[in-house]
Amino acid sequence: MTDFLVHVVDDDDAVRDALLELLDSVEIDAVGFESGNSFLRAFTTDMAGCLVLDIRMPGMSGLELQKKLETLGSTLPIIFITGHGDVPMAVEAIKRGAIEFIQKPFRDQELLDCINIAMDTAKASYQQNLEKKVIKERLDTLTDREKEALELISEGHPNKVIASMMNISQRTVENHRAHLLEKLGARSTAGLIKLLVLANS
Amino acid sequence: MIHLDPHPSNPHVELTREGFISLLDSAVDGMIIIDRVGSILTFNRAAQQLFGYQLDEVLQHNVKMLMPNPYHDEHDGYIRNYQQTKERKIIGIGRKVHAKTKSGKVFPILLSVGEYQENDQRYYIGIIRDLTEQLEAEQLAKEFRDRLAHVDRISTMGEMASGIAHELNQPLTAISSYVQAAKRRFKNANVDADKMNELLSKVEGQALRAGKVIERMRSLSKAEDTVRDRARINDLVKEAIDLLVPEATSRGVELKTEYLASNKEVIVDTVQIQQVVLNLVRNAIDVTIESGNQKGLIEINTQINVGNDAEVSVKDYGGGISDEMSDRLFHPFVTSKSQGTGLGLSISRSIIDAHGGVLEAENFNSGAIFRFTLPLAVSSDD
Repeated sequence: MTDFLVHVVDDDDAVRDALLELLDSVEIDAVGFESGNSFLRAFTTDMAGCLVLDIRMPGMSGLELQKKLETLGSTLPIIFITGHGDVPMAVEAIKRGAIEFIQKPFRDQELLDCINIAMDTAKASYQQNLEKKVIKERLDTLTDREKEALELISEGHPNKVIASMMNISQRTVENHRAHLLEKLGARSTAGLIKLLVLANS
Repeated sequence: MIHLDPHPSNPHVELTREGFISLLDSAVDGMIIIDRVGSILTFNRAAQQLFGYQLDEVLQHNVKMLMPNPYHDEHDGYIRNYQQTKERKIIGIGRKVHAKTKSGKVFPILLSVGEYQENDQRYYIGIIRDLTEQLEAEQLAKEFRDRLAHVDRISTMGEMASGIAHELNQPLTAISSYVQAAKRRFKNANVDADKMNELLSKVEGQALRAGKVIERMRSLSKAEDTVRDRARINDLVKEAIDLLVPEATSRGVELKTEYLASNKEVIVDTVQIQQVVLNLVRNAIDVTIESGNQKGLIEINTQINVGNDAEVSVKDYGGGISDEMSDRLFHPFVTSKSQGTGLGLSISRSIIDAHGGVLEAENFNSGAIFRFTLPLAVSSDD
């Protein structure tokens, strides 16, 4: 099982340490980074969990890190922590897909609730990514003719039409369909289409 | 008798005693002649006015009657010492000392002393200039400067309020999180004595940190009479820079500091010198942002310059000072900013002047450098 971690990025040693202590007191695994750059150095697309990000940091600001992660294909949910004067920045962060922003100093429950939501989101998208990966692997085992048949089936054509389009017998179309169900692990044509949608999401 | 030589062709004019007295009486400065034991022989009109004595009240009296202590008690000794050693402590030099009027009022004077010999007798002549008005004017100028400086600090603090609020909010956030962590451990009966002690110590540290921010603000907003004291140049600059970091950071400007390897001492009014640093760096931040410079960097250095003074420089990459501004840069009420009193640089210069230093600005290819000097404290211990 992958480790789901809360990644805390804050340049203020005390604020970062205090957040880690708070998370530790409720047994949430977390790791701290002192700057956007030090987080980027550790970042991989396999990373699981969420990000608690100070919006105001020297060097790379929280917003800049958010943009950078987006271009790197990160799906980590982000919670911003902000000072009083930073509301306009926080609004921009939300527009860019952050889960929430919390003003300092905050109530612990407020932060923990946000982290729970972020972690659920992270886990769901992680699960989805896993499934997607499996389906893609299975799709890779299909022959070119099977892929062609799958495409026509997903477009909703009846066997008769597919047979004439592929210039094969209806019987052979039936065989392709059976193989597709078996190879992709679907029970019905409807299930097959669901898997395709997921793979392409 | 005094001999004058008004024309080379007319070698000697003898001045009668009356002529001599009238010459002394027409002088603006007080003039007193004493003999070798300090008895007053002449006491001109200006001296009579200055000290409030009639002529007959002072003639043949010891001149120390015109002096407050410690001069009063030691003057006989001064004369004896000079006559024995011939070591000049005041003759031909002139010094600022204090004098005492008949009514006992002590006032500042500039005293110059000369000597002459006549008929084997040695006489001393003292010329006295009242410095009361000059010192009052200097004091007034100082009070005016201090008050303006205070106004500038208060206005600066107003502009820095959001940065300072952020600076206070950080330790408060940390304290609140540490305390909440401790409470949750209590609630979950996860109470380890060492851990609790650690959390409480961290809370304590952050409370002190918040206190320091307040302390610095208080000292900046203080209006009380300013005092000069020994201070370490690096510490002084660093404290001011620490106050500015949140503001700079939130505006996307990096403050890069490089400090003198040895932390030399200067004798300064710390608050006022920090005010100069604040003014220079905040100007640099504004200029950097207005110029839209991507580099967003300001460099602050302390060093010892060729004249063996401490030097603090603030370098920005904001394109430099325009020709039209450069002449009037340090004039009051001159500003290129939409907000601001235009007092910052003129006050900064008068503060540095009053400390015996120099504040100057110059352009380099991509920006401006402001630097000020301060004389090093004598016998700086490192």
